[in-house]
Amino acid sequence: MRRANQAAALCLLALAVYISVTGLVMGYYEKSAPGPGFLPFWIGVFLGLSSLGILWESRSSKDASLFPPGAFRTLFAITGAGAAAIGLSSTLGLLLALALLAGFAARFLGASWSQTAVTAVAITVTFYFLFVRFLMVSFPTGILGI
Amino acid sequence: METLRMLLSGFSVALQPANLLACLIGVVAGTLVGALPGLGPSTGVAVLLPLTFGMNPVTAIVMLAGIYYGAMYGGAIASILINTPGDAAAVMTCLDGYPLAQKGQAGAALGMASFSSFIGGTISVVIFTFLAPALAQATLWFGPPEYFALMVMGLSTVSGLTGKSPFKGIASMLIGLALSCVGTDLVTGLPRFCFGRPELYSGVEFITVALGLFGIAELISLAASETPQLRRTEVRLNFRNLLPNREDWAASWPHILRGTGIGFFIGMLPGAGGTIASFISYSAAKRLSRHPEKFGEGAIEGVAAPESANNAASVGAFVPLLALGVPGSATTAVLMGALMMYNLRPGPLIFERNPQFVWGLVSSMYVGNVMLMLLVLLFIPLFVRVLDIPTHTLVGWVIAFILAGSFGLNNSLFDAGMTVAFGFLGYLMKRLEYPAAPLVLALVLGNMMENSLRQSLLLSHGSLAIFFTRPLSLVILLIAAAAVLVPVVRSLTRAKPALQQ
Amino acid sequence: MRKALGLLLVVVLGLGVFGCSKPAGQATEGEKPAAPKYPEKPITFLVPFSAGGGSDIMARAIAGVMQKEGILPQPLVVENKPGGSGSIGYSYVAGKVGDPYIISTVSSSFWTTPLAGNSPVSYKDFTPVAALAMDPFLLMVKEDSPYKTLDDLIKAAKAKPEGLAVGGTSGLSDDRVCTALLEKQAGVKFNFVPFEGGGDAMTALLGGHVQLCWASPGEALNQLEAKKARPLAVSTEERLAKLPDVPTFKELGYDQVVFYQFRGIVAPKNIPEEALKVLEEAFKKLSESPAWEKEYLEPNMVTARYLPAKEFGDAIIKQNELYTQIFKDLGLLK
Repeated sequence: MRRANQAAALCLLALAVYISVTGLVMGYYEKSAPGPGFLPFWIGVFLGLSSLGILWESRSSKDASLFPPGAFRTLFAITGAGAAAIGLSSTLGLLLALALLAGFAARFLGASWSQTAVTAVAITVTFYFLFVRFLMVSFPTGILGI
Repeated sequence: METLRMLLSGFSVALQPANLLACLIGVVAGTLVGALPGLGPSTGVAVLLPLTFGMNPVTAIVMLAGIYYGAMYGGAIASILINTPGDAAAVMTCLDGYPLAQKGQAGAALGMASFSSFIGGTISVVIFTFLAPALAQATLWFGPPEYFALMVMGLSTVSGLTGKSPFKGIASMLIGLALSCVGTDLVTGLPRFCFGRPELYSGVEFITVALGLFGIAELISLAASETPQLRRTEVRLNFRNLLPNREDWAASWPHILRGTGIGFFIGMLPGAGGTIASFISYSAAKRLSRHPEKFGEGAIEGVAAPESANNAASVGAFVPLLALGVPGSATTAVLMGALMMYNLRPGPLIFERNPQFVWGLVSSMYVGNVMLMLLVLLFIPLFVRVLDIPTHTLVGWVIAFILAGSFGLNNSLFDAGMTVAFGFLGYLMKRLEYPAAPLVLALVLGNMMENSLRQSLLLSHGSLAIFFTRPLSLVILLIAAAAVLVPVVRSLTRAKPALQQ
Repeated sequence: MRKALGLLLVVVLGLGVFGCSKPAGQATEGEKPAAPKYPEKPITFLVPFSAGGGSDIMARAIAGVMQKEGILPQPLVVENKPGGSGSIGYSYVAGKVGDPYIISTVSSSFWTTPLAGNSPVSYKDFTPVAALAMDPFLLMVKEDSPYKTLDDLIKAAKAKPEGLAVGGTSGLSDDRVCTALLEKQAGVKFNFVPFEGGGDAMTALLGGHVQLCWASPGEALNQLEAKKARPLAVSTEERLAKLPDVPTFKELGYDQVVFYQFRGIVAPKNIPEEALKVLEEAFKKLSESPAWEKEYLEPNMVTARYLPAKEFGDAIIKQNELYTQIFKDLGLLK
């Protein structure tokens, strides 16, 4: 807990410095009004201060972990699969990529193979009619033509 | 009296079978796009627009308007059932709607969302009927300094959303503000924080972020089975126990009325709209409630306040559109394009030149709100079944819906990727106890706040006095200061007796 | 059984429905098929902005009229690819080098976005097809403004440099260009205040927060008829038919203040010569059809200006020089 909090606060501090410096580079003030870097500069300053505040707070916090066992595995599996689906959608087509993603998520969370297949197929059909035909969203198509 | 006579003649237009049917199609389509994560009314309007070619203009606009306010009803459904905002204006409904669903009160939450939407919508149409032209004049008092004051007031409500650590709440808000800076700078026209990605030039879309922070992060929590599996109400659902009970009503009434007022007013201001209205209404409800600690844990008022506000705002948005000829939001801009296509030029004269059209449209809003309420109430038992779906299948479906919606908003895979990234961040924030609401609030308000600040100072040639010498802006800034200071003072005075004991 | 059926359904649907429409926009460069008659399949009409905007309305009107009048044997399919002030959509079209089955709309962002350094592609990456219309700009004051004529205004502006606020859309925009042109020739300086959109600038004018703003003819007529605001002058060569009482800047002695937003059509680079001819001819027919006049030009108060491919190409280059010069003068470009 304390470690995680401190790490997060340090990330925020780095982000704050980056935002402020970039703000100054972009131009803090123009003739009579704030320039494009005015707000970013102050955002950075206050973000830096609040990250110091979080660091200070974390001194007294308990050391229990905030992350339940297996949390990171789930986090990486779901977001990784999401990112992979988006990456694959230019070759597979978005429709199939989303079906595969849903199937993967279902299977990962303990669905049987048949449930997984039903989910994937049902999503393909529903999304095709709902998004492609009815709402006319132009999904990227892939090598299979869908 | 004149108004009443016109309204009656309007009803004779709205109740023609073709217009009734158009209204029904509009509100059903609106509820659907509203309920689908990401897609909002502007998608719905754009999709149905080609269908209306060749229709009588009144029929066409009745249908398109139905999509607009219908989406406000639909948005609440996904927020309550799966913590995924159906559209931008429904983000606040997640905060209490989803906890209610987790407690097995999804039916009551959906019922309250629908009733408060109906009340907010209907009262607003009544206000519109009698006061539209006069109110349109009032919106003109709002120049850049007043907008700046209003945005500051909106941000000041963050102090009520911070959670355990005020530092974390403020950091979350600042990250939201930083995200709002991404994109082409309005004043200079040059890109900021874009890292050379053209997708970022138009800024970070608010709903793209909200889908990740709320929707995907919640799915990950569900998947890691930290959140207990949602359960449908133990009691068999019948019509009576999905209606909010007497206590729910007693708790919600004042918030619904206030939400309606806030919503209508903010909706009228060009550029502000339903999202900001629902934020302010929710924070005001929390601030003025006798037990603010219940908010965020599943308070029914927390659903009633934003839902009445976003519906009222969708009606309020018609004030500048029709009475000034100036569209106040992306969706009303599309509607304005449609009006022009039918040779109906919005502006003060439309009330005299095309009374049939104006009053037909207004009457159709009365009809449409009744339809929507009945529709949603009828289908609540069906919606609630979503919660019976086993977690593994639910997560699969919802993540696919979220990504499809995030993509569909701008036909952009980049946006869909961003939603995944914000899902990752959202989960970390959740575990590390950084509240997500301040981030999205600041993202919505940040751009307008910065632009109006710079516009004001350009107008005043750099003098800050412009904010304090204009009465309206001064009053709003004072309210904002009170919103921050009063709770602090109150907690200090409350702490004293505790010490004495 | 059910699942198997479902799967079968998807496969059949997939092959059946998508199979036919798949090749859209995939013709490859340099491939010379045995001269089939262009167009043999629907043409994608890409709008680099969201549905409902000015470009989108024009594109949908074009697609509608083309279909109704049977100008092209294949339909135009409007597709929106918004984002990045047009750069996302334009980059997409420019990337389809040699493909005659995709065309796109042209509006100011076609020039301004690349100039601001916000786009990897510019006008050089496209084949001009035709110009169709132009939007002039009108300088508006509030109805009760003390300035009855442009002269009154210029006098006041001379007396008080940067004292009059002009509302317009963003920093690098047509409104900014018009303001700069007037400032330069009249020897005055206004206080330019950028707003999020034309509607916001008009609201600020009506509320008295700015003293001047730029408007399109449609917006101007709206407010004029409602007696809320009035135009002082218009940026055209000759007076507008719909607003005969509004003088042009040119006749008032400001002949440099002649400026339009072009609305036209471009295709990717290197499209086959025959295809360009077909498209050019189609848009010529469109511009001459009464339905076009009735369904687009009239309701949207747009002034028609048809230019064939060659002339449009020259106009594009001229327009780009004009924008570059003005933005440089303003110190907005390095």
